[in-house]
Amino acid sequence: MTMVGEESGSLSGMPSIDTGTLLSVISLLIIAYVVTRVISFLLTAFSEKVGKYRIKIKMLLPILKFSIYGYTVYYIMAKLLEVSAQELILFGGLLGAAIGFGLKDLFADLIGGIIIVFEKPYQIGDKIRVGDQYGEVNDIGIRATTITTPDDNYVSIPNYVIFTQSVSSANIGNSEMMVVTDIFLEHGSDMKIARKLLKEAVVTSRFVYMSEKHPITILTKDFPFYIRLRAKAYTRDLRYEFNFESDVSSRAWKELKKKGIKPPGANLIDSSSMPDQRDR
Amino acid sequence: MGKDGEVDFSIIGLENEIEQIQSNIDDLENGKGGSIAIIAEQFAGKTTLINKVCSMNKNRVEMISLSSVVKDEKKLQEIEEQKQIKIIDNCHFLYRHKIGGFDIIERFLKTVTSPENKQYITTWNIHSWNFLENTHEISKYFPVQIKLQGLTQEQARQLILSEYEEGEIQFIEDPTENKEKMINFVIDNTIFLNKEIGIPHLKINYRQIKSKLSRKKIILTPEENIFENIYSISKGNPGISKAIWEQSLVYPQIKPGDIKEPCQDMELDNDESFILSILVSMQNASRSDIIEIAGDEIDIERALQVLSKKNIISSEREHYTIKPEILKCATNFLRRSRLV
Repeated sequence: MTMVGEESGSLSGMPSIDTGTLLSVISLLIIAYVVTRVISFLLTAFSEKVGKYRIKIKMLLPILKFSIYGYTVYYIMAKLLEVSAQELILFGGLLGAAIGFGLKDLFADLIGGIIIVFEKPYQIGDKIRVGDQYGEVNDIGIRATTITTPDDNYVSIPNYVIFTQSVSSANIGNSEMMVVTDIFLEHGSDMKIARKLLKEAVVTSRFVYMSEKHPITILTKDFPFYIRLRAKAYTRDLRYEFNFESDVSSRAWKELKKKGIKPPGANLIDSSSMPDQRDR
Repeated sequence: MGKDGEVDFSIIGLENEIEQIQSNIDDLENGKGGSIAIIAEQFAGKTTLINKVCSMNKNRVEMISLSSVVKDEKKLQEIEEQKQIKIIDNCHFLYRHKIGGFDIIERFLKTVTSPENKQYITTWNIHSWNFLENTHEISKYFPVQIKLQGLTQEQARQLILSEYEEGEIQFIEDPTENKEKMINFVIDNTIFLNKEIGIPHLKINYRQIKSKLSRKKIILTPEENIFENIYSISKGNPGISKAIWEQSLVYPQIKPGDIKEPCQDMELDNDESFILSILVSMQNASRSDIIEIAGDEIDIERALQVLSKKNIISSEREHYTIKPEILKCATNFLRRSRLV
């Protein structure tokens, strides 16, 4: 089947690839793609069934994907095209030129993808922040990482970004993640009651996760026109990040109001002077 | 041993715990030691244990058994004041899983540590205990903690058969065609576009595979097979073991094939799972308590209906409790979802 490097049938001594080989190469690439998709689908479906181990299982996806594509490329080069050392050097030179001229970004993405797979700055299922983008990682592909933002936007981030920007992962491969919930109260509020109620709102939330290593912290800080009550606690699944925050906040306020504790006057809260919500 | 030298089977597997508690009671009377917490899951024998301790120390202890959420502290003060040691059964009813639901337990914990006060022997559901450990570091209030271990397979057999005369029960071999298969073809019903549809699929019988792969190639008698099957579901929980036995027994006969794996793949949404976690922690709860705990954001009627329809919970006079045979798989499910 293989005709690469054979002088007979080639023009001016250049190697040629016959139709059969070409079809085999295309078929192999299609098979690799289908196998990758099927494995991704099955692993994702299985991971959704196992609760807290979801992210651990999804971690296998990029490794499998890179392994399948890597092996396919190796098989095509070594077995079908029977590329010799000389041809490999020639190919390397051409590839170098191609990278130099226009494919350098693609190549950087590919290397970035490999680094993401092995160094694991983030994994599939993590909540990450890259530049201005924040969301849950859906897929780590050969070229790009895709995330879903809280507004349900599907954002594709080129893999090379990890070389140029800092990436923060809120849960580094765990299902649980810390959620910070702030409540702003007027000065003179009974802080003992307020702290108690906020703590109880956190511990009785159906989204909370508590353990020895995942404690709950309630912090108070005075600002010129209001008091900030901050609850730091973990949600049992990062997908409940916003549900947890909302649940704690709404239930806490319901009880705080019953005790006569009020938010600061609306005119006193200037959004531009508010501390960054992520400031911990 | 009973009064007349007969073995008291009701406390089988609890002998060491009784001995430990008895020794602590002696210490408590001498002003040593501290309050005791007996911790176990539902149906594990906490009340049996505490009743036995109470009957052994009638003159020294006074006991109160809580059967529903305590909303009025006066209930705790109902007991006599003369005796130094108080036993309180089902202390998980001292709090409610809601904002403002911890006042009674907080005052109770203060009482427990008060130096001039009495000593307490308390029982707790293990999931409530774990929750309170995270919220109130409850273990610091009870220097002695006794966690009930399950029965062994032999102890479970003795406990179950203690209610029958020797030879009264007939253990029968399964007909060959009725033996459990490793893979079964089942049809699960699900709701899709407001219509109930049956989805046929293959279901792996892990218990059967495990028994096939087991290195023990000893041929078991039907009786041994039955108790092995019961044990594999109950994990030694006496209440669950008894419930499975009673469901499977077609008096006076029982076959290994009658012990069915009660757990289907549990698929519950967030609200249903939360309600289930409340029931697993409280052991039983009234509709009004569940409504109070769950708040406005959960459709409680729907969640309770789903849990009942899936044979996970049972209800009696508006009080809900988990079915014994389901407890283990429900707990595993909730553990995976991190709700217990």
